[in-house]
Amino acid sequence: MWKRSNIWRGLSLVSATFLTVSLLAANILETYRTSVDAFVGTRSQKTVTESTENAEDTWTYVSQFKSAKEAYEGFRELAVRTSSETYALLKNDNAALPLSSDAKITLFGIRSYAPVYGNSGGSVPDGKSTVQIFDAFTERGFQLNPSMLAAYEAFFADKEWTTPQFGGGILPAYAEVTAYDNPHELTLDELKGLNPEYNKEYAAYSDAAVVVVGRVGGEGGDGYYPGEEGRAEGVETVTGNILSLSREEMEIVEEAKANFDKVIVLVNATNPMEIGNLKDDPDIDAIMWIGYPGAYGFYGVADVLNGTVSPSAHLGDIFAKNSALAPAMQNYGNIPWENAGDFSETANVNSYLIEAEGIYTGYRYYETRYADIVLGNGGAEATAGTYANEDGTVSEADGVWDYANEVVYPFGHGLSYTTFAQTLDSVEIADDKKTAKVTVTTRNTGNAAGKAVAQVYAQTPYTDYDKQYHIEKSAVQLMDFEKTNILEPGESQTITMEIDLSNLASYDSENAGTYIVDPGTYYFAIGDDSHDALNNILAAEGKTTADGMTAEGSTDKTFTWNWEGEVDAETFAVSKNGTEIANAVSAGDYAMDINAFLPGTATYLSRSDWNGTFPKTYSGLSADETLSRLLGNDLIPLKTDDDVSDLVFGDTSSDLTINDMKGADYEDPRWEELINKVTVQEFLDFASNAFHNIAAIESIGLMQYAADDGPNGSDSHYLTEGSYQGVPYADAQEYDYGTRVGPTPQNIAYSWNKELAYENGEITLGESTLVLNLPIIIGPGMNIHRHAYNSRGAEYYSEDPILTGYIGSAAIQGAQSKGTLVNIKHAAFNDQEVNRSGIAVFMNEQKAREVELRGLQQAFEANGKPASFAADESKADTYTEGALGVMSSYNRIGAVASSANSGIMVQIMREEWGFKGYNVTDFTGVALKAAPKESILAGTTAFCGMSISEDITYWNGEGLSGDRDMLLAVKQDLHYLLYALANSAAMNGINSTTHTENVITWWRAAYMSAIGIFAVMTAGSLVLYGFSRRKKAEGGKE
Amino acid sequence: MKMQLEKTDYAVGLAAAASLIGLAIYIFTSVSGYLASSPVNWLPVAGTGIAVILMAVLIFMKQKFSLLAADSMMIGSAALLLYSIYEFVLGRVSLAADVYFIPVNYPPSEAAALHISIAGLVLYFAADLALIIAAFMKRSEEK
Repeated sequence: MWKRSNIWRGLSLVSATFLTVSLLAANILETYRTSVDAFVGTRSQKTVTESTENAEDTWTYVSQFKSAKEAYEGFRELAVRTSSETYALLKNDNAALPLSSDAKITLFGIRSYAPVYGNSGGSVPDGKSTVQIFDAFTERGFQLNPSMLAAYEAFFADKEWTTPQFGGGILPAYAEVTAYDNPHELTLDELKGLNPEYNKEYAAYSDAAVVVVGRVGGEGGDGYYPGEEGRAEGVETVTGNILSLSREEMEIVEEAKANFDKVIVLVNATNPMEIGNLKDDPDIDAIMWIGYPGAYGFYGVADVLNGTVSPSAHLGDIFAKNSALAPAMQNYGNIPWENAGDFSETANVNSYLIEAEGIYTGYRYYETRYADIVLGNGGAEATAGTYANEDGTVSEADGVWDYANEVVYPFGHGLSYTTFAQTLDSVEIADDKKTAKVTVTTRNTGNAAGKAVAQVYAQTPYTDYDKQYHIEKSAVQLMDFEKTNILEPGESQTITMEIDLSNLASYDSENAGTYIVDPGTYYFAIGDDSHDALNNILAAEGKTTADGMTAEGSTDKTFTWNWEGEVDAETFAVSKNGTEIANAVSAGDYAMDINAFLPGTATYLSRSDWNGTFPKTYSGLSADETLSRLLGNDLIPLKTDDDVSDLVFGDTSSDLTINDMKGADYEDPRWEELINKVTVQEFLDFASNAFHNIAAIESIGLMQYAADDGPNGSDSHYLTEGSYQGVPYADAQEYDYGTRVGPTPQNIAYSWNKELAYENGEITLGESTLVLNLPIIIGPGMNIHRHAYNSRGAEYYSEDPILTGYIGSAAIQGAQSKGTLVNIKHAAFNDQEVNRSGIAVFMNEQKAREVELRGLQQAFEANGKPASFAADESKADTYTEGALGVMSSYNRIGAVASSANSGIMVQIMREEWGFKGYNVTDFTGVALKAAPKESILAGTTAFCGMSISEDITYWNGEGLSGDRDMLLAVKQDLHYLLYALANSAAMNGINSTTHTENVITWWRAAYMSAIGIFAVMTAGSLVLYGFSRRKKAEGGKE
Repeated sequence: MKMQLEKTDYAVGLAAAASLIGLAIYIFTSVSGYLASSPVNWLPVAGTGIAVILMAVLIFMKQKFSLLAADSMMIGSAALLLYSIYEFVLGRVSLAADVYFIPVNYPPSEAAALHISIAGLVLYFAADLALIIAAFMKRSEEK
């Protein structure tokens, strides 16, 4: 063989081929090193600090977990404790709940075996950590009917949990039963086929039937659609919509009712389900909303079911009988531009969304229309197809709008195992009319310990001025909320809230061009929910059930005051940082009102004519010349011959580094010196390498770091990578668990507990940063729930901007206390997943400012400080700085890429709100769809993605060198991003001895080994080929 | 004089044909569609071109060269093909990153450029495989 030259010749080519493939792999893996880390959960580079003489200065942020065991237990403890406070008891007839702690129960429904633990995509729960429902219930003492369990077990016997679409690890969900158009419930016949004796032990496990119904949700995908379009073939539902129960689910419910005296339904969904039939059914004893409980959340469910914890959550979204009839639903989904095909592919032009419902989303619509009917202002008349029948189906004839037919559970609804009495003790309006002190006392009047929520609402006058200038007013709006401590029976707690009255102001884009306050009568009210509070206000206005109210109100729970004088366009016309507030998105290139481009196109819903202005679907629009220019995402020409001789880049005369700026103030004069050191190319390289990554900037000593999604903990990294102050956990390998284990953010909002949200920010986001060395965590999600059908609601908080804003603000303050550079997502108006990249979102400026932006504003201005923090001297240093990071949205804002909409990104966020931090796009890369040069001008500091599109030819120092505005924007953006990083955990553990070192990850070891082996094989084959040739030449035989 | 072709020559010929088609695809995807506006990397063109010439020489003029020289041409053409593959792949990785890893829509022309390029790469690897097979074969002079 040694003499057979053809063998060695062939082997040399084989090994050379494998050597080439190995070299390619090495090149690609190193090019996308940080992305590979994110995808496979490795860490290929580490930060090493050799000397820590002054540890206190070096380690600004200190983790509370010194070992993997502590971290694992800490995340788990918080997840369980939090979860039990996020379940809203919606119905509890005859005190059906709580059950005894050792109750013998029968679980019904496919979700009773395979519940939705969390999102199916984006911020998914950690499957490695997940404790399954039946194990959690059993561990807590419940005895489960084994026959029924066996039937479901048989169904899933050959099925496995899946891998998440984004992020790493295991998703605790079965692909076979994860769909938006089919609940995949099993019929009784199917159960019988799986276990003929599934129903034999009902009598032995009859303390309660617990039926679990659910709907999946998550990032991406097409989401939910109403009516027939949203149902798979053969799927029939109660209201005709996929968010009501299917025929198969109802069969399961009926089976439970027929065989059990006590039937409890758990609603395992974050989309508000249409469950009017369950509420009205006297044989359904209890209903509890559990949302997505997370990896350990069914311990919490058991704790609530058995009474260890009294439920204290309240709905953060209204539950309608038929959510498809909300005015927002008239414009939803894929509504393409007629001339979308005229645009270049890279401009990413597809569809548009005209949010003609104005401010009337969620409870604002239902409660305001109800109030107008009670007040005799109209609203009862309703056109076919816009209102619900008593059973929740869509009306097919013109008729009468009736609140009782429309709403199942109001916003803010939630029961407890005890009862509370609340009094509105006092309301003191500050002399400058900008704040009010509202004092509420809550007393536990029942027999169990529990927490209560003080919900404070307001009503503002709807005047002729408003009607003239198309300003809309909700009949009731949440102003603030606080949660009590656990109150023992008979115990009371008094809480004083300082309410921000700027949230009462209305945005008048037509006349004043700023926020105004109308003269007239204002009401504050407390209530068990938004409807109860409104009824209290209506009672104060002299109304009773004789006027059509659903219940009598309590005038003693209201406070009335008058705003005297003329329309006030001054008090709230200046933001908290002193910036004058003026129209930002009503006209010009950055307009969000479609009427600014195509006059007369949209009619916005007005309470002055509910039926006449009820939105229609605006389809079939073509972009005109102006819109086309904007949609093209190339709206500001790049200049080439500006004088830029005075602008300094790449200055090498300074020794200043980013390490010297650790904790520096934004106004610190040294920033200019530091920024002058950076070259334009360095900035562009930084900005274009931002997929879960903070790229190094060599000239100023900024090291490279990993970053990660998402709002519920790290998506890709595990405690096996954990460390404490730069030293890897000794027990890391024993804890292959993630940090995304808590209930979903929407659950946390439903707790209505700012302190709990703060703690979740500290641990879920903050400790993920410190334990896993991830200075940036992409979260929290703060988009508003525009309607019930967006499938990504679980990542966001609520339909209400104050609940969203204050819970989000608390989470951010908690996270930033640990050094997390949060990236609030998504600024702004990411209102649906359908066509989320490229869709052009239009609305009037009042809606933009009073709904979505009002929520975001609370986080950027560090508003919503809990009353307990305000009263605690040790918390004086909290809520001192707003969010330092944001992620812009995929959708267009108006016609312009969100990151390039200067009206939102600059005028409102940077100027009015004083945002000084990091602003990254949402996985666009440097591509035309992100309008890169316009986005840099609008304060974008990075483009999440992995590549620079071929058609962005100016992405280099030379390309920008003749445009003064661009170069100034580069300097400004450097200031923003470096300030944010210098005040984050990116600087944790940093001193003059700090540097980065490569780590031999498994994939590095693999390609290095392959290169070595195949290089040796190639060389060896060639040598042996030469040897064989020589032997042959010497006359030897082969 | 009529040339006598051996099995190895057919294999090398197959490699040359596959290389040429692969090269045509490389050039097509580099100068049209999504990548039309980006500069063309000519190294794979040069590499593949020389490799094909060497293969042609190997088929049609091998009798003029020693066995060692012929083998050197075969190994050299394989090395040039592998180098072309290396450059070709690296020039298309960013497309794959966009198309396969960015979770939202990308221009259809980008996916088209990627998928046509993958077809080209398959042909390049087929050419490499054909050369490997040829290398393992004994030529008449070696028997």
